[in-house]
Amino acid sequence: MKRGFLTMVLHAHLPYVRHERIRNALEERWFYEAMSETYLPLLAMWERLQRQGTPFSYALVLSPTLLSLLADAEMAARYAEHLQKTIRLTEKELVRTVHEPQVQELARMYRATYVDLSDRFERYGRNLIPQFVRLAVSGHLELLTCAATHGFLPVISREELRQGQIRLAVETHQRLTGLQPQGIWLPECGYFPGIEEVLEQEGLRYFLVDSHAFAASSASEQQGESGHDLHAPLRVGASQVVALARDPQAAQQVWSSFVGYPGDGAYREYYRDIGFDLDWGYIREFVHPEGIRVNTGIKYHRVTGAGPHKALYQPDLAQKKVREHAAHFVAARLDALERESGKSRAPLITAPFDAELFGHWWFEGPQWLEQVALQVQDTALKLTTPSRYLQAYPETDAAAEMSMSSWGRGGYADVWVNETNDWIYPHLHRLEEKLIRLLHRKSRDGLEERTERALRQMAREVLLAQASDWAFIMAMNTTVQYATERVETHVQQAMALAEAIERGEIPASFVQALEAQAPLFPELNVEAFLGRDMTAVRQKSSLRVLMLCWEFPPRTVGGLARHVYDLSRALAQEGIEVHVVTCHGADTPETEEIEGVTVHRVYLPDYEDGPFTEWAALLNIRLAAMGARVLSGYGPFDLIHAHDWLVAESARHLSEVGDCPLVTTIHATEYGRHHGLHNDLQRQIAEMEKQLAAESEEVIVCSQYMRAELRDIYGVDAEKLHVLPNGVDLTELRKGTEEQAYDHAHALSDVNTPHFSAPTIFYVGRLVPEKGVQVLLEAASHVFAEIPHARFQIAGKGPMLAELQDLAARLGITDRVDFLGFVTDEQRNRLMRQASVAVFPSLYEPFGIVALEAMGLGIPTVAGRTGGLAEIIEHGDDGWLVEPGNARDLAATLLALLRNPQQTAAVAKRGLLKTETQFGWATIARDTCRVYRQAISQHAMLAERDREPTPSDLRPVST
Amino acid sequence: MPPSQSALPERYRDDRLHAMAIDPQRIFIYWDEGAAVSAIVARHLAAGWEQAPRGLRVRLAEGDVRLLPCEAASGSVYVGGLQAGAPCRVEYGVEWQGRFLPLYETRVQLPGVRSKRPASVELSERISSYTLYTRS
Repeated sequence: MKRGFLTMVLHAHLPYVRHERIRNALEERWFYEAMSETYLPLLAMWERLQRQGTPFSYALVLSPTLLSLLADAEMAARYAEHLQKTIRLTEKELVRTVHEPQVQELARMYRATYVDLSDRFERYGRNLIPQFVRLAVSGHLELLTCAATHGFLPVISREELRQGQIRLAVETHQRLTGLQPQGIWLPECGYFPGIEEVLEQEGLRYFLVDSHAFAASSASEQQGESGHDLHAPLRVGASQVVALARDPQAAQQVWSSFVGYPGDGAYREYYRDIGFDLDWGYIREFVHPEGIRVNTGIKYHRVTGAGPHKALYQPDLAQKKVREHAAHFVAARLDALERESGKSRAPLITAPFDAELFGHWWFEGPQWLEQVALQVQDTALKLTTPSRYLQAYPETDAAAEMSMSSWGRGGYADVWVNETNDWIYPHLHRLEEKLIRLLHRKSRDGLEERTERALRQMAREVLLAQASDWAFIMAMNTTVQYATERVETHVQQAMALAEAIERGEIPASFVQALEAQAPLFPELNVEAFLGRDMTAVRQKSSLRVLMLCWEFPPRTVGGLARHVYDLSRALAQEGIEVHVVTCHGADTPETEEIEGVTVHRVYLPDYEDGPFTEWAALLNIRLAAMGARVLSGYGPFDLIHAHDWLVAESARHLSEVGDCPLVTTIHATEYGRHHGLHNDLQRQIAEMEKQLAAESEEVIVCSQYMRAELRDIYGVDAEKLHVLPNGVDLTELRKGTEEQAYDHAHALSDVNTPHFSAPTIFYVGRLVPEKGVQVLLEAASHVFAEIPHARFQIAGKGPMLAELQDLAARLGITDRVDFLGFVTDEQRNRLMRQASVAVFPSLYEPFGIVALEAMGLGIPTVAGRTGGLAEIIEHGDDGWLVEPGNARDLAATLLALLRNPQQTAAVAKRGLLKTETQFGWATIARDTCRVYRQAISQHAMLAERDREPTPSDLRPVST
Repeated sequence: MPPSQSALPERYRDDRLHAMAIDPQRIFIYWDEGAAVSAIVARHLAAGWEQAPRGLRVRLAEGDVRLLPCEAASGSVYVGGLQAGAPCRVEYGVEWQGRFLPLYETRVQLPGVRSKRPASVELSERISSYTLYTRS
């Protein structure tokens, strides 16, 4: 009866060390050594177990770079040649050691081993992959994948690149093994939050982490100090993907250099190799042709002890130790199982190791694995694969959030980011960003074959530079020069390709040469790097516009956010490519795609002590920095569109940098907001508004009122002023409110009968003086005199809140006025829909979008006769206008319409019709495009005028 | 430490600040000033701002703020002693007339059991659509 399971996961990986130009590259020997000492011996061992009929299951990770090397016929030929050379050396050793029988016996062992390796390699058709697949199909092996080039995911700066590492890995695994992997070894067990979503999309069910990842997960908060059970899978995030934790005891028994099995005195010593021990004249033809001593694989000593003296290797003694250590390992796992008896689910002990530990570092490792399989078979423990276990025990506890972790020193990123290797990242991150932007361009424009090919090679170079091996080598201070050269070379080559792509001049020979240097991922699908929602080729845009605004949903301060949101989407619908550079809201990503609009975000600086304009300058630096990246990454752009003075400086800077015309929408002026300019700050802001308008090719305003203000007070040239009203997206507005259709006529008919629901007067907007909420409160006191059970609802936030609450208290109406605070758009729509009347008693209102939205919902709407509101509403026909600041007039209007329900409902209906027919965003977007084209022509004309005359201009015209 | 005689660019001058978590207590930060700063700051600060000291402000939730000097307009640094699981705000700026002006900002989540405290309390209530309202 099996009471628990053991899964041993062997991670086989080598960086891509094939070198086209350098014959006998030292690093190719890593591949030869791993082939001779690990991969072929493991296959031989598994075949033995299979022949004997021993039940066994192991999991083997084949990293995509290793798979690519294994599948490479040229590498196979070079390895076959290397094997022959090693066999010749073993033969020469038989002669040299003729007077040392014990050593000669070892030489004979090596000769037999290498002859067997060579025979086996040839028998496999020089390709190990089909052998691994055969064992996988028979159920003895489960093959896992790894990231494409073994990039350590937590230090990759772009989500798309992390995604690309995973997608390309799965594609490569499928292409070279014909199997869909179920599990993945995240390089260095490096988990990065959110990666589980990508794994799930790629059909992967599990990954491995080190044990402390479970302790630091949210599961530990729920399950106490000890955290989630290490012997049970942990479902991660919102996905169905599970993490399996490394069992620390199992790991230590094998890994530890102090107490681990491989350090036993009986085992073969790794560091005593005849490549270093024997005379140069004797060994030179078998080491590196350039005269460098290297490991030959022939080692005659055993570990013996910690000191320099090493005794000769005794295979029998080592085999005895192998059996003992396997027995110890199995017994320790059974003890662990015993301690966990009574659990509802059978425990899974996960023991992951680097595959190259077995055979290469620990010569007897493959035999030890064989012994574990033999000795475990008659116990309560069963060797299994992760997939088989998860199939048998699919239920896992509630999902948990995990934070970044790895299995490296310290458990996080310390090995891959420290003083020896941190120089990599500033270069690599910029390159990652450049690659993604070029890929977006490709997705947008489509590319001719040569450019696409260059882009594919650039992606290969970036991926190769990302390999965690280079940073690891630098941290371990081993072959640092090689690792440094690899990173530098890949970064330089990728940069050169990017420049060539951007210039549109791609030398075919250059790309071909780079392809030949690294012939991996031949069918590299660059779409794999883009999110699934980004891979659809966009309709080619007629214009490309960069919009700047300081608020954009979900960050909503005033009406501007909604305006830019609706306008940008409507422009995208018209085939315009729109990029919005704005500020972060709560938990917003830096870049996202919203209904065809690409939104890029920066952090809003805190407002601290100091001039307000200085704060605005800091905001503009951030917007300009991001905008410049967008211009270079997604450009060329046709136009910059600024919304209000707060983005003036970044707009000006980007217009210069990108040589683009500038269009500005002035939503409101400082003069209008304050009914004049009363202090230095207001004058300074007004000056910036004036300058922005002056520097813009065209200026858009939302009402005739605003046009007059800019023309008469700011002195803006009337010809560049365009009146385009704000629009209303009725579909968006009505979302979530359809089920609450409200009969206003019926509701209003009940105002004089207090037992029915109370009439509700609703306001939404910022609580600032010019919105006139103070007037509304005064009017409310008059309304209550006639209709005592009415309610006033005030939604929104702002600096006047406390002042308004004081006023309500002084008027004695606190119990009938609700200050609702900030409401979401959806809440606002619902409240508005339920209201009897919507009131916007503004003293100054450039447009008054919210009044239009109330009308769009069919709500009777009352507004101050000011600015744009006076242009939107026709008094008594589709709404009501009241004198700004006149509380008695407002109260009288409210009472009149509450008392005449049928007439009021008819007016509201006409208001709805007006909104539907005159304020649709599609019309406004088309009109905006016309302004854009005018700006572009104007800019071109000015550029032509400013151009220095050339000799051809001065040539006389022939007649 | 970058390799000596590297063929890679010494600076990019691209207005960048980036922070990476190394472990639950440490982050690695790199930065490089660029054209946005020189174009916009020059219009707001008096001459000599180019020579003003640069610094990093590292903020962990409320009340835990550190100001670290930066030697140059481009560079990298490690910051330790941070709070596991906490979101961390990093700002790069210029010290000017006794104040720190944060030019760039980035954020990084430190590994570890996640802190529920926000990285900052945004003060947008004090800023009402493009102007600053104060009670007079």
